[in-house]
Amino acid sequence: MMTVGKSVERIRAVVTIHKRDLRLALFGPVLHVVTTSSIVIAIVIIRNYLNYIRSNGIYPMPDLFSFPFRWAIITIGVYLAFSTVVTISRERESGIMELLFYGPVDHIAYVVGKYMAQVTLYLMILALYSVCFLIFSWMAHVQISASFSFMILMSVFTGGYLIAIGIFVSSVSGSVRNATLVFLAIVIVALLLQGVQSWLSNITPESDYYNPVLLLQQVVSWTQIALTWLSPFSYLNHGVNEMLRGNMKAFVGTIALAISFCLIFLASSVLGLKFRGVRQ
Amino acid sequence: MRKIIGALLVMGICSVICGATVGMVYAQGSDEKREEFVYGVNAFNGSVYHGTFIPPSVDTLYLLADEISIVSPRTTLLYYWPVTNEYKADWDTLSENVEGVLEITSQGQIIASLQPRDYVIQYPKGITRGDPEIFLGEDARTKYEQWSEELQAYRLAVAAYYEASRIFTTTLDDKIEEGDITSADDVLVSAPVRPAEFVYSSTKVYRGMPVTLSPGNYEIRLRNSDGEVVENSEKKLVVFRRDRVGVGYTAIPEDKWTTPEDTKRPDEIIYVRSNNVLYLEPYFESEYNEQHFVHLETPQAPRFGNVDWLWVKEGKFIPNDLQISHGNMWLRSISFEDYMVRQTPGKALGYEILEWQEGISQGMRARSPDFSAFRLVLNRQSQDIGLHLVGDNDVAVSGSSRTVDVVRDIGSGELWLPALLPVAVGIALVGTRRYTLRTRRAAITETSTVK
Amino acid sequence: MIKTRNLTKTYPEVEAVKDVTLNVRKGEVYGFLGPNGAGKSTTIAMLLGLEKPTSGDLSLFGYHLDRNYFEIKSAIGVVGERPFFFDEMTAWEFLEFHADLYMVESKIYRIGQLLEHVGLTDYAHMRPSEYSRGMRQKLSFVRALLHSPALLILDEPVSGLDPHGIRQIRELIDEQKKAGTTIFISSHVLSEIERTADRIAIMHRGKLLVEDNLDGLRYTVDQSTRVRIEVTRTPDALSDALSAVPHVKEYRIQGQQIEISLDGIADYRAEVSAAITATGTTIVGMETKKASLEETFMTFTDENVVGISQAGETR
Repeated sequence: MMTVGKSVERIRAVVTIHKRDLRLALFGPVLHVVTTSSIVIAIVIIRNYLNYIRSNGIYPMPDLFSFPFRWAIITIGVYLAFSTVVTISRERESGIMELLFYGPVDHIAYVVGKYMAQVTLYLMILALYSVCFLIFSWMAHVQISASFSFMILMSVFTGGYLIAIGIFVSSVSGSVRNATLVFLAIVIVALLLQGVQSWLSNITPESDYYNPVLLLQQVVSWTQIALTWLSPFSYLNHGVNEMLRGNMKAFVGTIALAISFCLIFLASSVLGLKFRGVRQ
Repeated sequence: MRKIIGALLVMGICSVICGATVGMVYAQGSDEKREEFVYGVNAFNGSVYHGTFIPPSVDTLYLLADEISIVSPRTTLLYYWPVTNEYKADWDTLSENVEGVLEITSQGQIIASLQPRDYVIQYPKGITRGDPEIFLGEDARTKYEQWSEELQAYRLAVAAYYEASRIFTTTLDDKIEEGDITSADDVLVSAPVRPAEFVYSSTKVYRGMPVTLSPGNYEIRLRNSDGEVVENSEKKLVVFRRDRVGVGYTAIPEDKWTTPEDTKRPDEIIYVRSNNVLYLEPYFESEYNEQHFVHLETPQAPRFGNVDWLWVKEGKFIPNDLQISHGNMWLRSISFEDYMVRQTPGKALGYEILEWQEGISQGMRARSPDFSAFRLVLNRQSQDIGLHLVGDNDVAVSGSSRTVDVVRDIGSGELWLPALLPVAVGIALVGTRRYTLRTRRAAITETSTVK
Repeated sequence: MIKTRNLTKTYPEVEAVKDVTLNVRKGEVYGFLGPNGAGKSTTIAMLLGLEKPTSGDLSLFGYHLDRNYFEIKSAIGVVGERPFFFDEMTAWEFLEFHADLYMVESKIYRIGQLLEHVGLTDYAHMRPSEYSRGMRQKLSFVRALLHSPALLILDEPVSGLDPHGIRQIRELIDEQKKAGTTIFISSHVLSEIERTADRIAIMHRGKLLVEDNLDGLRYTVDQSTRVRIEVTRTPDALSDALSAVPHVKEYRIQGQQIEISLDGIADYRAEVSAAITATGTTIVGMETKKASLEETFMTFTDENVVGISQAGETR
C-alpha cells in the first residue's frame, strides 16, 4: 500500500470534490438565473437613484453603488448557502454522500471541498458583479469609490461565512426538507427580528414586573444581540460602516471575527457530519 | 416527543402574543393619570438644551460628557398617549419639586452628591442660532432679570415704533391730500424704522441639579431628608462624548432651492445632475453613538441592538474659501457669499437666486440675505470634484472634505445592458455543456451505426 | 486482510451487531451471508468507516482506519447494495471524478479499457440515469475497479439483475479472483456464493454464527454424506450387505434406488459399491449428494446456535 501524506490525500479529495461541484453549478441554469436576477434588481435600485438625481438635481450618499451591490451579494450569498443546504442534504438522502465516503474522502475533505466550491463560485460571481458595476460606473459617469473596493473585500468574508452556515445546517439536518426549513427559518428570523422588535417596542407595559411583553421584548433583544454577533448580514453592514468611518481597526476586526465564526461553523459541520453519519 | 415540544412551543408563542395584544389594547385604552416620580431633564445635545423627562418605565438616562445638563426630580401626573406610544407628563396640573440630594455612584462608590440650585438657560442670539448659556444660582436670577428688562425695553421700543409709524402715515396721507407731496422725491422725512427683532430668549428660573461628568456608566438615586432613597429614583446614567467632529453641508440645488439636501457624513459623495449649480452652506457637526444620542433626546425611544453612528448638526459658521480640486490638482477657490431668492413675476411661480447686495429693499423693509453659501457651478466636464475648507492656518478643516460626482443622464433602456452579461455567461456555459454532450452522443451513435 | 474482534454496534433501540469476530484472508473470496436485518450492512458500514463501532476492534490490511484512513480507503473498491451516481454527470465524467479521487494513472486509458471490458463504451457519454439496472451495476463495478484495489467489498452485487446480468457480474468477480484480489461479498443469492466463495460467514440477529469453508459448514449441519445408487435388481441379501458396511449410518431401498447416508465426509463409495456388487446386482448409477448452501443456511438461521452445536456433538 503506497503511503502518501494524509494532508496530500485530503487536499486531493478537496480539490476533486471542489472541481466537481463547481462544474455542476456552472453548467446548471439556476445559478445564472439567480445572478441575472440580482443584477436586474441592482439595476432597478440604481435606476431609482439616477432618476432621483435627475429630478432633484442632487443626492448625497456614501456610495451610489453600495446598497445595490450589497443587495446583489446578499442575494447570491443566500442562494449559494441555500443551494449548499439542499445539495448536501440531498446527497445524504440519495446515497451519494455514502458513495463518496467509500473512497478516500473524510469528513474534513468533504466539508472543505463543498465549501471551497461555493466560495469559488461566489468569488467568480463577485468578479462578474464587479465588471457589471464597472460598466454602470462608465455609463453613468459615477466614480467607483475606494470604499467600494473595501466593500467587495468585506463581502468575500461575509459571503464565505454565510456559506459555512449553510453547510453547518445541512450537516446536522436529517433530510432535505428539515435542512431547508431550518435554513429558511434562520434567514426569515434574521430579517424579521428587527421588525418584531420595533413592533414590541411600541407596546409600553403598564407594569414593570408581570407583563409578558417585557419578557418577550427581552428575549427578542437578546436574540437580536446574538444575531448581531452571528449574522453575516450584520457583519457586512458593520464592517462597511466602520470602514466608511475610517475605523480600519474595527474593519479588520470584523473580518477577523467573520473568519473565526466561519471556521467555527466549518469545524462544527465536520463534527455534525460525524455525529449524523453519512448514510441515510 | 418532537411533536409535543413543537406543540408546546406554538402554544407558548400564541400565549405571549395574546398577552402582548391584550397589553397593547389595555395600554391604548387606558387614559388614567397617576402621580409618579420622574426626572425632568434639560440635556445639552451639542447645540441646544433639550427638555424631556424620565418616566418609571425608562431605566437609563443619557447625557453628554463634560457639559452641564440639569436633572430635576419632580412629581407629576403621568398618562399614556397611544398616538405616539409614550408616556406624557401633565406639568400644568402637577409639577412639584422633590427635595433631596442626587447621588451619583460609579461601581458602588458615591462620586457626587448634588443639591438643587436655581438655573436659567438663555439664547442670546436666538434659540434657532444655538449657543445657549446656562447660569446657576445667583447668576441665574441676575441674568433672568436682565433679560426681563431687555424684553421690556424692546416692547416699549416696538410700541414707540407703532406710534411713530401711525403718526408718519397719517401725516403723509394728509400732505398727499393737501397736494404738498406729489412724488416720492417730496418725502423728506424717512419712515420710522422698526426695531430689530428681539431674539434673545430665556427660560424662567427653575430648580434642578446641574450634572457635569466625564464619559462612563454611572447610577443615580435621590436620597430624601430622612436618608431614604426615593422610590423609582434609581436609574442608570450613561455619559457619552462625541466621537468625531466635522463639517457638514446643506446643498441647495439652484433649480430646487426649497428642497435642499444635507450631507453629513464625511464619506458621502454628492451626486449631482450635470449642468447644475449648487449652493453649499457649511455647518459644524459632531458624531455620536446613535443609540445614546437618540435616547438623550427621546428617552422613551425603543432600543435597538446594532451600533450605529449619527452626525448631528450643531451650528453654522463663517468659513474661509472653499477649495476645489480634481484628484490632487487644485483648481480654484470659491468665496463664501450672501444670496437672496427673488420670485420672478408672472404666473410661472419661478424664482431666481441672486447675490445679495446691501441696500436692496423689498417693500418697506430692507432686504436681508436669505442664505449664505458657496456657489459651485457644475457642467458635464466636471468630474470627480473634491471640496475642502481650509482653516486660518491653511490646513484643511477636519471632516470638511467631500467629493462631488456629476452623473451622466442616461436613458433607462441603456442601463439594462449590463444585465446581458450574466445572461451571456450563462448561455455560453450551459449551451456549451449541452452542445458537447449532444456532439459526443451523436459521434457514438454514428460509430455504432457504422459498426 | 480484514480482521475484526468482538465488533459491536449498538443503536438506541437495537443491538445491530454483537461481538462479531471475523477474519478475511488475503486473496480469498469471502461470502458474508445472513437474512434481512442480520447486521450485514451495518458490519460492512463499520468496515468502510461509515459507522463507528460501539466497541471492538477492526483492522484492514493490518491497519486501523482511524490512523490510516486514506491509505486504507485508497486500496478498497466498493460496490454498494444500491448503485449511486451523480445524476448530472455522464458515466465517463463520473468515472473520471473517481479516477481523480483515487489518483489513477493514465486515467483516460484505464477508464476506456474498463468500459470496453464491460461493454459500456458506446454508452459512456450518457447519464447513468438512462442506464438499465444491469448497466448501472456494471458501471458501479468499473468505478470500484478503476484503481485496481487490493480489496473488493461487494454488497448484493447481483441483486435485481436478470440472468444475463448475473453472468456478467459473475465473470467480473471471477476475473478479480484470478487476479488475486481479496473479495468480500455479501449476498442473498446463495448459488453465487456457493459457486465463488472460498469461505463463508453466516450472520443472524447481529451475531456471527459460523465462519468456515463450504464443506466445513455442511459438516457442521450434517456430518454425513448421502449417496444415491441405482441398481439393476435388489436381492434379499442387499440389506444385510449394506448393514455390514461400517460407515453406513442408514439406508433406504426404494425400488431399484438405494439412498445411503454415510458417516462423515470422507469418500466410502468404493466399500459401498463392493458390498452391493457382492450381492450379485449391478450398479448402473451413483450420485453423491451434499447439503446445499441453502439447506445449510436455512439450518443455521432457523435453529438457535445451541441446537446446532448439540447436533454437531451428538454424532
